[in-house]
Amino acid sequence: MSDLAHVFTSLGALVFARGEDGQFSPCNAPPAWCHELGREDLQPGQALALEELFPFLTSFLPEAQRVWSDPAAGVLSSDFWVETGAAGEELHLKARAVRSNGRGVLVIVRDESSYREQQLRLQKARDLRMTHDALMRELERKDILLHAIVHDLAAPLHSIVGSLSLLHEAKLPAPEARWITIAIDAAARQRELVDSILDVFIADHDAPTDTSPRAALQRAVERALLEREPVANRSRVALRVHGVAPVDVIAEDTRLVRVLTNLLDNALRHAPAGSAVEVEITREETSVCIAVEDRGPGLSPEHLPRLFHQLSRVPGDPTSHGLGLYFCRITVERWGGGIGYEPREGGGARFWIRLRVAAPDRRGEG
Amino acid sequence: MIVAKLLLLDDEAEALEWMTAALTSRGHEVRAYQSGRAALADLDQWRPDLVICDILMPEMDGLAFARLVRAHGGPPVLFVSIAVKQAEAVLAGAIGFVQKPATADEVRAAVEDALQRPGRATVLVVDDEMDSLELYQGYLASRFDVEVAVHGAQALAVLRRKRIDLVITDVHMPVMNGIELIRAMRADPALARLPVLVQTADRHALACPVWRELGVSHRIDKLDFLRWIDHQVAVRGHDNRPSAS
Amino acid sequence: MRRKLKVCLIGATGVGKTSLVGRLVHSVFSDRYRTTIGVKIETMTLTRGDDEVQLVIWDLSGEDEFQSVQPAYLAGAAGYVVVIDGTRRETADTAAALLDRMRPIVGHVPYIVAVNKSDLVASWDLDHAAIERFEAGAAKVVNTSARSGAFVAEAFEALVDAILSEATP
Repeated sequence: MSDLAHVFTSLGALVFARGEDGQFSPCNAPPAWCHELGREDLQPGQALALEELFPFLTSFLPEAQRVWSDPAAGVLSSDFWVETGAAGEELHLKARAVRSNGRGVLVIVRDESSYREQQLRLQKARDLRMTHDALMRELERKDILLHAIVHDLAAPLHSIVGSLSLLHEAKLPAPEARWITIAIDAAARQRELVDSILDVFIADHDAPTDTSPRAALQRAVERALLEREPVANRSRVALRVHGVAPVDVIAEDTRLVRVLTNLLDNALRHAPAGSAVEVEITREETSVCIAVEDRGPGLSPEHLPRLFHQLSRVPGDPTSHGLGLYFCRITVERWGGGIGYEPREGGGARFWIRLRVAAPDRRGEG
Repeated sequence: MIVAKLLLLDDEAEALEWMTAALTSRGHEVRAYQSGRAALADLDQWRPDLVICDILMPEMDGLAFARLVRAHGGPPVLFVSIAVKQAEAVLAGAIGFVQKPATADEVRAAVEDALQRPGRATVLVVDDEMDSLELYQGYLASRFDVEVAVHGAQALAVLRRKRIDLVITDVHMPVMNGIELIRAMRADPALARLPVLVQTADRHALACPVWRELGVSHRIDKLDFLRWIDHQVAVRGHDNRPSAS
Repeated sequence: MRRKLKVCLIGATGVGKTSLVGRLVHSVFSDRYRTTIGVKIETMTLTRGDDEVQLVIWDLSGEDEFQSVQPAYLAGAAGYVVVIDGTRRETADTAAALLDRMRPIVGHVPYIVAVNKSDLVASWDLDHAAIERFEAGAAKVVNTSARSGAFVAEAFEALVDAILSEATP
């Protein structure tokens, strides 16, 4: 019996046996950690009120009682609790209650490694949660700020656009008429910019959808072309479509139309009068490639590296602000697709997007 | 071309100036206000054919103003605003909406369009439960023209033959359900921007992220729906008090 | 008179419970965040009037998606401190929910609400309305800072006073 007691002590366990009167007596010599707590005087056999010694046990003992009064119960383990040693270090202790030979036994151990492991895991999890929450708060603040800024930008723009449109109607002689036209066009681009900013930030902050969005490609292409027809007619540029892919793609309907109209806008802006903007649809094995091509000047090589990044304006081109392409990229990438640019043989630009083909529709009546 | 009496309300003086000029040049009689309260006071003696107002205003927001105007049997309202609150606008009494920034022509066209319409907006209610349909129709009929449909396909037929300002739809319906209806609407350029409210008893459907893609501004639990509508339509206790900043 | 009182600290994770105890008992503060697991029990003695009070402070692990406050730990508490992080609005909601859950178990013992991190003025996330709801039930609502020490001792003293005044003389 005393050999076993030594084993317990060297294992760092302090074992108590519960007496009939509800008091506890140690069964072994106190292990090293008891010395650090100044409790090395615990003698086997002496009856003690355990809660005085370890206040934590006041909450554990009632639970332990249930184990001790039930022959079929197993081992009940407590949470860790911390005591501070004489040298100021923290000791992490755990209690276990078990029934042995009809008697209640309480074992207290010091388990630093298991504590450390648990602590590290929880620490990591909680740190991640805090970081996540902090980021969410930051985003919220930025959203509110952005909203306010955009509203502040849009409000005076209303008066600018409005007054200019009135001046335009007054049909002033040249050169005044020309200056008004310049101002109107600038205001119109500003208006588009405000729209684009809202698009980008709404796209950025939208909650990800768990269901895979699907859109009918042909219909989206048709809608985009329909929306840009008036602009094409005014610029005397023809819009042509080649190829067909009557499939559903992984994309959100209205956003896809917006992406396509963005590309068409770029092309129409640069296409010379009398030329054509071609939309080419190519069906690939698991994807569809939609390319928009123009016979404009194309992009010079130094603009290419930052092409799809935020606000990479083409210097010298007053009409470019780069937000449109950035929006296209993040939107298309969110759908698992891709976007790119190539110069065209014979001059001009070719912007393409690639979208994944959706699996056949297994929905019943939806 | 109709020539009308117009009440113009906007907190920005410049906006009032140019919009007044744009409208008076077409022969309309315009009274311009920067204060909702001042406008309301004059409405006791002067009855315009149309109220044109902004939504985001510090003293009294446009929706509150519209509710008060409509509650006193006033003229219909056309909103000219940056904010895109179309569903709430219709319920507050709007028969048109122009998004700022806008050109003189866009404002005039919206005004002319609004003047040719009946003074009430038309709401389409789509639900396969007759009880719900009757309940909503009964509630809305005092302030709106109401059309009904029992499923999505019927709703589309109504949308194609009649001009609707707001669609209120259930989700689960036979033949064509709410989601399919809205998708079909969004695919049609004429209907793509029409405000839609979704009301359903299905909690899972309410929480679904699809509504945002479909441009549904509000989805409301069926049990709360009438209370929510009432909140949008009826004048609120604080509508008349100065807004807290 | 000598008394021994058990008090518990409860609240969401990371609000500063351990820091408040560290400041009170050891006059220290560390910027490093180490999440508490299980229970940390510290004791200290305060004198209030004629009473010498030995405070046994149970610093409990925070309430979040990973761990819940164990009601068993509150058993026998003479009072408790509910801690809120003034820079994170959601911790006030957690505090309110905890109060609702713990009251039936702990009973009507006094509690104070400590709105901690009051030194972080720039990131303060709570308005008057958020705190108002605690004013009715708490013995006191105190803005504390474990970092600067502001009102930490006062908070615990207020709790002890509330406990002593309710106890039968």
